[in-house]
Amino acid sequence: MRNKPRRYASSFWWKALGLLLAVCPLNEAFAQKISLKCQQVPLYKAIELVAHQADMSVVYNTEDIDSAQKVSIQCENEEVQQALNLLLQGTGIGYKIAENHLVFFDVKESQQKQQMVTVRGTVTDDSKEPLIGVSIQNLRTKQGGITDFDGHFSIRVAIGDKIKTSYIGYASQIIEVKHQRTIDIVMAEDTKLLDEVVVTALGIKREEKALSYNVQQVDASEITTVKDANFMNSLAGKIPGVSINASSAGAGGATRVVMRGTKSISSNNNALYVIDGVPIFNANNGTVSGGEYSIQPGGEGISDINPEDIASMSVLSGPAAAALYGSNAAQGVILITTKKGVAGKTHVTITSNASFSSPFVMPEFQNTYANKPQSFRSWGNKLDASSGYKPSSFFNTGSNIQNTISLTTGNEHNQTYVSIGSTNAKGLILNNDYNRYNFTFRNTTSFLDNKMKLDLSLNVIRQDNQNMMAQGQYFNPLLPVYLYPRGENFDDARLFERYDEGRNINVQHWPWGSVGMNMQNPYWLAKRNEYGTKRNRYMANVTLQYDINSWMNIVSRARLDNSTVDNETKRYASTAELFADPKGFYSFSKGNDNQYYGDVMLNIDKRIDDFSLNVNAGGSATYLYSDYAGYQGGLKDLPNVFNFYNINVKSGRDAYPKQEGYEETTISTFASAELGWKSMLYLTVTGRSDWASALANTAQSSFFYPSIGLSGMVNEMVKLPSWIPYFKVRGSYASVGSAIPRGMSQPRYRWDEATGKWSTNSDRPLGELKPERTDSWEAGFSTKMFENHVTLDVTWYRSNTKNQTFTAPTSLSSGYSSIKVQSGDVQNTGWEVSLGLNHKLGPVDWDSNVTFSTNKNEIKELVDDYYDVLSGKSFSLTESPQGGLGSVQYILTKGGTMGDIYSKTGFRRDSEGNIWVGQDTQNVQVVQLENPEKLGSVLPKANIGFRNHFNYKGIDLGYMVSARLGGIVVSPTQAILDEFGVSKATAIARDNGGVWVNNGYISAENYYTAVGGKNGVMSEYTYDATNVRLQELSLGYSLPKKWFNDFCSLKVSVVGRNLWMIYNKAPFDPQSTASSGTYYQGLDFFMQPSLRNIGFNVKLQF
Amino acid sequence: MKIKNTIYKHFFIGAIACGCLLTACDFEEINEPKYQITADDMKGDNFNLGAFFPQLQDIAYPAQENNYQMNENLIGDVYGRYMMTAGKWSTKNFAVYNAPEGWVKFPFNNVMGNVYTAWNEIRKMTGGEGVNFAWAQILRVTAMQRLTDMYGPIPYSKVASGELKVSYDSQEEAYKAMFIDLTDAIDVLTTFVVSNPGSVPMAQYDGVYGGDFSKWVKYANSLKLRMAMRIRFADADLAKQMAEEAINHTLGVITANSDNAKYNYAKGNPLHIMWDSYSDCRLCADITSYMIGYKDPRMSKYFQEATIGEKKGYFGIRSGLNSPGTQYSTQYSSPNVVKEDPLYWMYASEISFLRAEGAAIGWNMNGTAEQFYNDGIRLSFEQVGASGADTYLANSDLKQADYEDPNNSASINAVSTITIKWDDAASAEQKLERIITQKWIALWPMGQEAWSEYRRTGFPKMFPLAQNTAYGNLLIANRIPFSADEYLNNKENMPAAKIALGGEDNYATNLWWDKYRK
Repeated sequence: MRNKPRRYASSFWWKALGLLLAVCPLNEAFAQKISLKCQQVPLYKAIELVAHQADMSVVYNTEDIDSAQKVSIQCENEEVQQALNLLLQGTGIGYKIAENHLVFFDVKESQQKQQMVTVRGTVTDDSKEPLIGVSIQNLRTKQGGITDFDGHFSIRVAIGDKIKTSYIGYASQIIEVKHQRTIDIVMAEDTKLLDEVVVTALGIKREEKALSYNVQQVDASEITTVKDANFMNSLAGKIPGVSINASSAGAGGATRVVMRGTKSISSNNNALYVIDGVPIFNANNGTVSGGEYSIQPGGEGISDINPEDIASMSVLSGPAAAALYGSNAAQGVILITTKKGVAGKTHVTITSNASFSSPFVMPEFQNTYANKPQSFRSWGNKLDASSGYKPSSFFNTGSNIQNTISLTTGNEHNQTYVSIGSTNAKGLILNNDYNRYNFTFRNTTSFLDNKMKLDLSLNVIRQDNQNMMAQGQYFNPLLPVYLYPRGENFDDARLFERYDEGRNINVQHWPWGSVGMNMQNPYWLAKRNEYGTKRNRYMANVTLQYDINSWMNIVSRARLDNSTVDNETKRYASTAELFADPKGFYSFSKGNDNQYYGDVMLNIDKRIDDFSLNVNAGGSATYLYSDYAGYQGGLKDLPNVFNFYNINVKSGRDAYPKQEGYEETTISTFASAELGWKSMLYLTVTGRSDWASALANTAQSSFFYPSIGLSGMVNEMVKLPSWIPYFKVRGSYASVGSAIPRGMSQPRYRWDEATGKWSTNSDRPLGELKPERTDSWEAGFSTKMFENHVTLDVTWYRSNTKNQTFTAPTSLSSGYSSIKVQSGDVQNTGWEVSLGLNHKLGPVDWDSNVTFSTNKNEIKELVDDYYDVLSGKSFSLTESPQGGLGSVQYILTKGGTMGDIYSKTGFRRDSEGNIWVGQDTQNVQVVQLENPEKLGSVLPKANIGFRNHFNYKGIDLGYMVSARLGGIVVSPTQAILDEFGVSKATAIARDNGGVWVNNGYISAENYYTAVGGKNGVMSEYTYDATNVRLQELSLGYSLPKKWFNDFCSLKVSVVGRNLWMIYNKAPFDPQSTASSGTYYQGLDFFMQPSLRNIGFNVKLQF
Repeated sequence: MKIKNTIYKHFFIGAIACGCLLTACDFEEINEPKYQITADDMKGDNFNLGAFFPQLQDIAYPAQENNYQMNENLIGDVYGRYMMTAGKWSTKNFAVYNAPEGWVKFPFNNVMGNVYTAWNEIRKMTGGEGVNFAWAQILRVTAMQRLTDMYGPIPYSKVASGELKVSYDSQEEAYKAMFIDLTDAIDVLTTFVVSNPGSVPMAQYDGVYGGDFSKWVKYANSLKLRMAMRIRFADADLAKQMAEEAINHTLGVITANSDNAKYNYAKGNPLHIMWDSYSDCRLCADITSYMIGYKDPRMSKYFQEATIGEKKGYFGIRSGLNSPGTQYSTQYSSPNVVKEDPLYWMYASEISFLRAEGAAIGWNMNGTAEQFYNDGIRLSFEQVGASGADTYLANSDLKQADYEDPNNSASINAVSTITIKWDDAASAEQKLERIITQKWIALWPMGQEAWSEYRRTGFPKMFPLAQNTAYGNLLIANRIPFSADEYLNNKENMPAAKIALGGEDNYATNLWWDKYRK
């Protein structure tokens, strides 16, 4: 083996020398000048004349050279070489001068003998991003190829050949091949980049023009310019068709990401996250479901990623794009490509970001009317002067400090990327913290003559968070803060604990009791009702790729993602008895969340004449494992001693062990084939089969989902006006399945914590279970116009999610409370439009982008004639109540939407529909409505994002305005503020002498006590959710490099988010959500306000 | 060909790899819900035999705190005029007939769901016969009688049909079916008790009588007597027959406090949580004014003293009071119940009062009305550990006291003049009032039973509501509306259920057995 390369190398150099001799005339000039003039003489005659004048001898082989052919020449005092060139022009005969000899030979034959070699190289753009599909042609042989998805190419050339690169949108280059065997080419943009590589499912790279579905690329700068502890929040409003709602849970909250409308009635509607081709296990604990009695939510796994490690993201919003991912793909996929080392100079980048936040939208309060003595409600006398109490004074300034230092280094064969990052965030509420430390290492090596590549990465994450907050009554300091009686001094509450000499401990000071809403001192809640999570996580990735030949490779990936999690709750002695025993309450559990993933994939990328064929086929296996164990309960013996030994195991409040976990495995095979014709028409077909453990015990052990798509470049097929150089149309269909919830097919008896007993299952016995299925259609076009200054991308889609497994309530007359049915059809139809504009305004570069998306959600069917095995009868359902708060409730109806909210209470009305006012009470009456009143749908009709970016000599100015149109939100918060007489509205009403109803005034207290409150008239607290805001503003300056002697580059910027609410009619931010689940959207029950951020970024690179 | 071969080769390898994985992992094992148990697991030590009895007992008379609050404390305890929701729900609650929908449907949904899932398991395991099934039937009737007394018609006789939507029995049908089930169960258990004296096979699963089926028979006979009395104005013959059957049964009814049905719930007495942790309930003005008027020695056993302003004593809240907030209403007196107290289902005193009423109308109760009336008072005193029963029952002067609201907003004069001492010469009406009034005091804190007896007889006389309602003069609800969920989920059967009810589906419609006051 060792001989082989050496032999190869030596023979190469020998042949190269020969080639050199053959083609290069010597540079040495000869003294003799040739003058010659002859017409149509035999060649040998002319040669002799030249040789004579040059005083040289002639050598040639008459078998090679037709020396009798007639030539003509006329020259005067020319160099020998020039004379010979003139003479031999067009004869196909070459010559060389060796010492004193003129050697003639047949050029054609000689050239055939020239050594052809394979030259490899990479084509990148000036930002080092590989360019794919760049045409590389040898100008002499007219043969060539195109670059692959990593920008690599190889071409057969002889030394001295010229190769031409051409790529639409880039300036063509002609490069002469000299001795080098690798050629790296940097192409400069001609006008604007027209086509690019996108990362699609399973990390497969594709040309954008070949895609039959909409894939939206997100540049890393989108998530690093205006940073958030959870990077997904930075994308809100930027991607059409994707709704991103920041959590109101405080620092560390889970973000809700729903693409193309909510589809599933009972399962998760959040997007799937995929990092470097591998789906990750996003333990999302952001769903709260208890309405006003929700307990604190947790964070989510995806926010563990350091945004600085992200190179780019692709959003696959439609099932067709994600069909290769199978389960969960129906909800769309966010693909994250992380950074890797770059060959060349070692670079160190330091980024530092500090942002500070304050409440963005708050309800309006009153400060002029006090409470009656001993009453918590502010329905007392008017104060002489404003009480001066500001609920917002309870909030701290939130902060988020993120620092990352990263290093990239490497050579042609080995590249390394290392980064260390820290994130320290504090929420608005005292003691709400989120801290994260990331360590990332990635190494990419190629060996075996570049045929094998090994990519290793390791992420180590340490994350902890404390006191996130759900909306609702439990552990929510905002209730007492917002409702605090206006005649009382809030300083009394600030001294939240006082020393109890009898007990030798500090005890809570809160003379007001629960006020019917489980209130406690807000500072006590923040400081002495602690709830936190600590997570240690590591993710290790190995990717091994082997190039079988130039058009086929095999890739195998393995990923480990292991977390250990500690959850701990400490409630101190004198916490309200609902939540703790007199000595306190303690809960601790420890758990593991593990994911193992492995796949093998064969990739083929082959061009045959006009056709290109791209095939990816392989299999994958995923195994999820989660296991938590702990104990909880009220304390005995010692107050505020938080450990298991001090738990009152026998009769402590809520004292019981906690042990829960699951396993899940999915084994899949998949294949995708893309057939292209003349780079203008592409057909893509994919298929995937999953064998899922959740389907155990059901008739169907696996499910298959196919997709098919077609994409065509119209501009290449027909002649379009010259101002449309790029016009692509696409269409696709996909059918995506997802398994039934794990464990469902094997019903068991469960331990019931509330009663401490093994308990029965209240579901009717199950019939046949099938996987859920989403069928989707998508069509669209992309065009680039006016020398690429304008880009337009339009997509239409429709998806139907059927066979949904959900729990439908049954009549309890049957002895069962619910039935698991598989039915339903939720349809989402929508448009996604993205319009871009870039232009120079004088010396200023200007980029502008508008995204518009609309989605229509409709429940076509809830349950129609579902077969019940037990009775043998069919079962239909036209209405299904879901979560709610107080008297507002989500009710799904056939023909309605997934976001329809109803009020179960309303005004008592007279026969003519007027509000009834009691003669004796002089008040309105609130009654339970026989038919709940529909308040509206919380789903938006459309979302618009408008972004502008200006650059002038290193100064960057960017802003984004986002708008959400349509839909409603409901605020039980406002209703309760009214009930307690602390809202501005109640003060106005009192100033006016009451509330005008029908033909007279009703006392404000009577009216608002009846109409307000969580069971009040919710139609009065329903607001249009339409809002427009200045979502982002950033101003940056890249300091000129010469200031630092070109040693480093430094960019500083000031960024802001949610700076200005331009239009909003609701008393809270309608884009904020308390839950990452499907329901409880658009409902505000003392949610934390959303945040207005101002931050500073520094990026230093050297 | 070479390309093709390579592709085939890789597919082949892939297929084999997947095949291996598929066979290597047992999907059923992976999918097994962790830390949950199968029916097979339950067979060990015959756990399955009794596993679902604790669930049935938890719900037969609701023991878990949330269930207790929603099934008993907010409804029966309020309508029985023992307690009042404290403050926070003062404008929207059962007392003023506008309870939130969630409250109204809760008992139906909660009790039906919990009873029948457990009962179905037991029925499956026992094949619907034998001692254990008989025991389950007694527990089922306990729960269902409470439920029909709240709503009226309920699904009862056809629940086990397997249908998705079961039609409602009228209350008459339900009572008759329950009598049959109860009588069958009594027979089965009696046979067992007679042939297996001292055997307590289910002791481990019995939180009421420790597995003593002879006591369960006494309880079932007592329940039968309670039910018989309930229907006496609707079906006098059946009532008499059932009552006499119960009394004359070999094992008879509960006669001593040692046979009281009481449940020791692992998490303690839920009423304790109501007044303490939740601060959700306080005493009602009716019970305090009667007992204050009677100078009842049981007061200190029943209630906690409170101090309002300068005043110290037992202060109840007027039913239906629209109080200005929890701050205000939680000052009133609380029940004197601690966590360790058992949860009572039935007292010997109640049975004695039932027999008193039976004897007073000429049923064969094996004794006289006076004897049973006095015994009822004595048993009640004994049960709470109060002394002076004989002095108390001999008093013929004391009457209900006027209600003085310590906060001076809802004071009202007494509405009753009934005295304590038995008077054989009194009218039937007065006798009834006397028995029921004393029974009402003795029944504390079993609000549901107090409410039902008030509806049946109109006694004791109660204060009017402190707040106007949409129901005019209705003092206490005659029933609560059907679960709204049923109009959704059992649409087909609800029209018939309403017909069976015989009136509007609201708080005012009288139940089938509620004939006397009409």
